[in-house]
Amino acid sequence: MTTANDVLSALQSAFPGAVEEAKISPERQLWATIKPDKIVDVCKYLRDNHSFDHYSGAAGVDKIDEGLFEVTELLASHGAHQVVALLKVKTPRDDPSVKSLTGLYWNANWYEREIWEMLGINFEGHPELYPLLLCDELVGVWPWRKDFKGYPDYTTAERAIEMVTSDGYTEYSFPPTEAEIKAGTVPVDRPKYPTFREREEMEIEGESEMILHMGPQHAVVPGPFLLDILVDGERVKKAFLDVGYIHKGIEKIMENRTYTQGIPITDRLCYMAALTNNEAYCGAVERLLGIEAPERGQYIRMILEELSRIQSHLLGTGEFLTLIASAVYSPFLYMIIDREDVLSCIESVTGARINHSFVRFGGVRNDLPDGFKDMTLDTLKMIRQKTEEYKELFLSDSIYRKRMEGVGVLSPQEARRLGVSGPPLRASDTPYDMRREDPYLLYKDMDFEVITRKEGDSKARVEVRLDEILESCYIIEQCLDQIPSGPVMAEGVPKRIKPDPGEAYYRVEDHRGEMGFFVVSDGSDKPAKVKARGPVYAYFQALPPLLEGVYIADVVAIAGSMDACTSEVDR
Amino acid sequence: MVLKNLKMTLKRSIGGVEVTRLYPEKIMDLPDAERGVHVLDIRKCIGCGACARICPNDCIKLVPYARGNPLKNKKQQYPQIDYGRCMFCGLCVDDCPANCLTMSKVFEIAGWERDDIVYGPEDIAVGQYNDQELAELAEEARKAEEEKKRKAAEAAKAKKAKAAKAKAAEEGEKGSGEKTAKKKAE
Repeated sequence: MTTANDVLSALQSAFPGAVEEAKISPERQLWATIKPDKIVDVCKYLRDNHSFDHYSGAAGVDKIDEGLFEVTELLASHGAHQVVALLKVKTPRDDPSVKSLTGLYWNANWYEREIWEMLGINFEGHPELYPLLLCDELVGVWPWRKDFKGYPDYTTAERAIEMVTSDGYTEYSFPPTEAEIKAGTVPVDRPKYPTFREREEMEIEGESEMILHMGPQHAVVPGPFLLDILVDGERVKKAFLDVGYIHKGIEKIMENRTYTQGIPITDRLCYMAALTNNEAYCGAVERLLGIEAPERGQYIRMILEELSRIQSHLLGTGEFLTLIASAVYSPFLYMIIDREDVLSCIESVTGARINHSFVRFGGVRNDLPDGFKDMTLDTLKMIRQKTEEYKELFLSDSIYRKRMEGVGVLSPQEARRLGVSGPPLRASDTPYDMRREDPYLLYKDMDFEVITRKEGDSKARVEVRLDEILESCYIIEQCLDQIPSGPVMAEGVPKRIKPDPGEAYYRVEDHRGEMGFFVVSDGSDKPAKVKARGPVYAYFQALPPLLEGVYIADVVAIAGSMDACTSEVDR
Repeated sequence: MVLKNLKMTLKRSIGGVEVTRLYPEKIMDLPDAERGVHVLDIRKCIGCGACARICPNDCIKLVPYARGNPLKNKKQQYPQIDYGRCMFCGLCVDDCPANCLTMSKVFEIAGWERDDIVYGPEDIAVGQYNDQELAELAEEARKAEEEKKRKAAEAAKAKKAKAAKAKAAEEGEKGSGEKTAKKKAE
């Protein structure tokens, strides 16, 4: 098995002098600072020779004291080994430019675009450096920079100037005032790029082609995002995705809160996955602090996260069924009724049904109440029985099978290339699960199976989810049997969290895939940078290539089978 | 196949699933851990403001309260919570050093105006002092104050006396010192 040390020594011998600093902490995580001109070669070498075929994301950090920007590339492998490589590239602050990895990893596209629009780091060789989450007015102010002065007040309608465009639409613009230009809150020279509409209209080639808008507010779209499909007859020729309608700037908000105050904000990334988001953030900060939760605390976290997985999969499947047959609402309600019981189990511990804010640095908030075991076992029995029923129903329904089988097929190679994780990846015959791959909490002691399917179509994705419900039930039963008595919080956790300067990356298996938090500390009581690497971001990026060539009627079936959550994409 | 599906539907409809909750006549059982409207034990609160500092939404403000414990500092303030902004995360409860702030099972707090859901100490307090207790405590406080004053006066008196004594002793010492010096010089 390859270890982080092997990778480091191979790198040092293949590229003498390219690795400036390196450390391995904890085991399986290799942190290395690479010379900016060597980063593409190093990544190519790692991908080809050490099977680092999973580009997990990138984080940009503004180190204003040193006059530097730092881009950290997160690389991992789809099951060949368990090493995570975090390669840092430094670039001066006055002319920031980094070589793009889009030539090596297809899914580096969106991560680099986000860093460009937020920090203003230019990526050399990036094919489409357009804004992703920000609106056009904000491009050029670089809001993630530490010296960002704030957002100009566009709320007063008196400032709006009406314009009629050539096609007869009315548009409004807000010219900046002199005071704003002086204060530096308004970009003076904006980067030039074609707008979203211009980009998609460039692709229209003939009279028979047209663009069909789905969203931003569409009955069958979960949350606001714009999915434009260029259709030729009934076939989709190309799909365009525009996100950022509910961009909340959670990462920037967390930079302005103390570490503890950040916990409730991670809930708001996606309320279906509130507990796993808490877990990922708290795990990263625990690594910075060098503490670990006591055994009982870890068991409680596991029980609740698996319960949370069950409720998320139930709602995800129910929502999917309404999407493919909008008229049929009953399956959704069946699953909602089942989900209520699971939520009641979670609520009896955390005190909330949706936004839990339950995990703390070094443990959990409460202990399990009396009678929790019996209540949960009863619920699990019911869930098992119902899930078996659903599986039987889906399998026996020929209409459902005709609609789902062979629709939106992702081959294993394609799924890995697009960078999806979680159920869509496992449905494409790739057993990649953080609980196995990067064992956190006490999952290494648990006996469970990583569910996979060979087909890679919409039906397989739903089946993986339903089977995972059964597997989660099994894990919870084991936890309830094995849970020891003892404290739920580690001793000696300070009330004011002030980690030493450093950085940590911690990833967990969310219900939808790989969820990671990258936290940088500068020694103060507020994090210098928090980066959330969400699974749905990767799904969304993979949607346009997946939708190419399908029928219009299948678009919703494919997009729905991904179980998306726009809130997490926009953050 | 059709029969199977029909069977499931029938089972669901006859099986006695409670579909509709009879809210508000019958409120569902809430667990003890429920995070609802806060409860402040006014007798325990020390007015430290830890809850206000930890609040991520900045919805807790410390305000003066007339019916606080007269035995304590008269300028002590108590938390007022704006439920228009509270997200019920429970960080304030975790951080309270006196364990006087807890969360109840009450969740029905709708109001007609924004000010209706700003709950002051009088709305969230339990164990409030009644008039008789307040009068008694005020009397006690007055007595304690008097005692304190008396003690302070006594202490001042003793200090004065001591200082005078010390001065005298010092002078005496000085005098004797001078004498010895003179002796040595001789």
